[in-house]
Amino acid sequence: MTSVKLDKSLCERAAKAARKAGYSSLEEFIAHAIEKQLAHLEEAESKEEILRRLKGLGYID
Amino acid sequence: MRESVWVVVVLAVFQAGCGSSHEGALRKQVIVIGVDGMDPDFVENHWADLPHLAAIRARGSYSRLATTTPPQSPTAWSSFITGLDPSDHGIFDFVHRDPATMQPFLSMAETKPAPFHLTFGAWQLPLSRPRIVSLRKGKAFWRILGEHGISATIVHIPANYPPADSGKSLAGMGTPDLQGTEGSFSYYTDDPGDKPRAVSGGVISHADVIDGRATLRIEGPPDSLRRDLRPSSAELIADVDPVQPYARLSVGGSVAIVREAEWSDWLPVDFPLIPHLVSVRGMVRVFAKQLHPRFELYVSPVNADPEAPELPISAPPSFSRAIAGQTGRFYTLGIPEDTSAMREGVFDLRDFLSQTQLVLNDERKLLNYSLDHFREGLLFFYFSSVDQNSHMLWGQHDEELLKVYRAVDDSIGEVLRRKPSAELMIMSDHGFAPFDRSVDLNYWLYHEGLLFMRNDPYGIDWRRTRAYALGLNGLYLNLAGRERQGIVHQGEERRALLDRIRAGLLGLRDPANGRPAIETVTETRVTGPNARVAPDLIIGYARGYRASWQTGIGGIGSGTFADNTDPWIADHCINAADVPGVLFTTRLLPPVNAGLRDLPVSLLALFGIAPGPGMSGHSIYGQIDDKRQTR
Repeated sequence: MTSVKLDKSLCERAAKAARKAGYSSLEEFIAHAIEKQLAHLEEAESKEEILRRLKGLGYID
Repeated sequence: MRESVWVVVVLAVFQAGCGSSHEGALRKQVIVIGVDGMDPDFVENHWADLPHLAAIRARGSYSRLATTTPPQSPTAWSSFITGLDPSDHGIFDFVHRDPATMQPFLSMAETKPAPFHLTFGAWQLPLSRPRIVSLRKGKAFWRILGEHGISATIVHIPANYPPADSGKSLAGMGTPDLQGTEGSFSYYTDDPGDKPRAVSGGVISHADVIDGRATLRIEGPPDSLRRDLRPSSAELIADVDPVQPYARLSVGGSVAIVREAEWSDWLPVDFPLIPHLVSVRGMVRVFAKQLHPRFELYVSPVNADPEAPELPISAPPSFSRAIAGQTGRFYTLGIPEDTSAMREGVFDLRDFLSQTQLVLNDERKLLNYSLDHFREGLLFFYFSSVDQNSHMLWGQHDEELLKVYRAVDDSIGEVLRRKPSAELMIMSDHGFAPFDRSVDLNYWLYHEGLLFMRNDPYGIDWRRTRAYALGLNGLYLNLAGRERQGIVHQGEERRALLDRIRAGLLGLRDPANGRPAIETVTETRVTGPNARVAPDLIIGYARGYRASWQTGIGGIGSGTFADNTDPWIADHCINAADVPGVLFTTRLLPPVNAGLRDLPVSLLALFGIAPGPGMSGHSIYGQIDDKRQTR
């Protein structure tokens, strides 16, 4: 496992949100949030590459 | 006994008659010239400048030709190829989206990577080749000809990549470059004000010219032997003469001398995957835009080399090699005219027209080759330049556009001269209209409370969005059970939403002039496997309007209407009734009211063959009477 330092107030907010959302632990909540963010970023990169392939058509920008 | 003899004689006469008719069909010569984007208004305003088309109209027939809804080339040519409606051939737009991922993709073809690899370190060895599949459904009409023993040669017809495995064909629109894109140019400049960047359809790079030498990197295909698929590359060295406007280009073993403002011939380029062991062959043309005082060099997208094709650009695979062996290399990229370079300011008008001339020269070579080898059956030959030049010249550079039309007319004259007894048809897939104002459908949906944005940089909030637009004419509902996060339910909810959107769009007026921007909103009603990719509504813009640049990729801008300030000044992705194509035949016909789906049925009828399964068009030739043919 790797340790990551977080701002205390952010950590408290995250713990509160995790309890409210029904996560079993703060770690589970943070792991889920990172997974979600990564999925967005990876999708965005993939879309960029897809659009690069299409743009030579001329019809789109 | 006497009766038996008569039966034998009658049968013999009948069979001789059948044989004669079939042999007649086998020997028949039918030539179709497909001119993408040839517009009836433009033609009708220039009969005196287009003598061969005028002559065919005078002695044969001419009419307008109904196009498909939507009037986009992949859709229209797919209907010409198969005789089917878009709901059956499944091509509704240049760009479709996958409802599982909401990502856009090219509608015509898909490359599926090799499924299994042997991996070691940074390397991977594919255990099979990537599979490239055409996404167009239905049977190409020339396959039906082939099944009846009629030979067919099909040159560059769009939406035929990889080419249908029948007769001989060269793939057309939809064929990528070796980077896997629809065309990516490279532009190198030593101008410090021109920052290196990726642009639409290309890349601008900085070039250091040291002691008259620039060493440039041309990006090739992704290295499929590496796990990270990093792009392969090759080195192009340009040695610029210190005084004269010449440069010496060296790439691999090829050397060429180019003069400023001129083009090189095709230069083969090898992109090493494993140095000295495995490489991929492509080819480029280089334009020395400026050599002094600035250094500005354009390198074309890396085309598949027809002499050693890395992509399935012909059927049989040897066909492209056979042609190139006689004609030399030629463009193999699906859309060869580089409108992107002009849109990005890399080409000025003169540069763009000079590149068009190269394309036309290649097309002339291919046409001559095709005519040299055409004995009987069907020859289809395609011209792309009228369409691509209309996008950039329409209404503002008519004289230059007329030169492109005249070049095609000259080629038609060549066909008439060399094949005087052939039955000839000239047709286009759609016409043209100005593109002055853009309509951002997603912004309109947002404004109507039907599309929601996330409060982050990632785009649309699919949990609340009920409808969205993507492609040049398509509008989709975010349908439960189809879209990944669909929320609109089938039945009453869907019906009410479609009705609401239709009424809203038909009432949409441009605040700049009060004109309606949209003339038709067509519900597609597709069932079966194509329902997954079909838009729910097809938007038919009024002349002068088109989907915004952002809408095409499913994006959203900052207002429903905007002026189109792009050099791409004309389009055809509007209401189909506003952009019909043209139809010429050397055969004299009564007035016809034909559409694209009628043409494959007509061509089959010329050979005495019934329409294929699902073809619902009607023959323009009616009862075939060969004595009525005129020229």
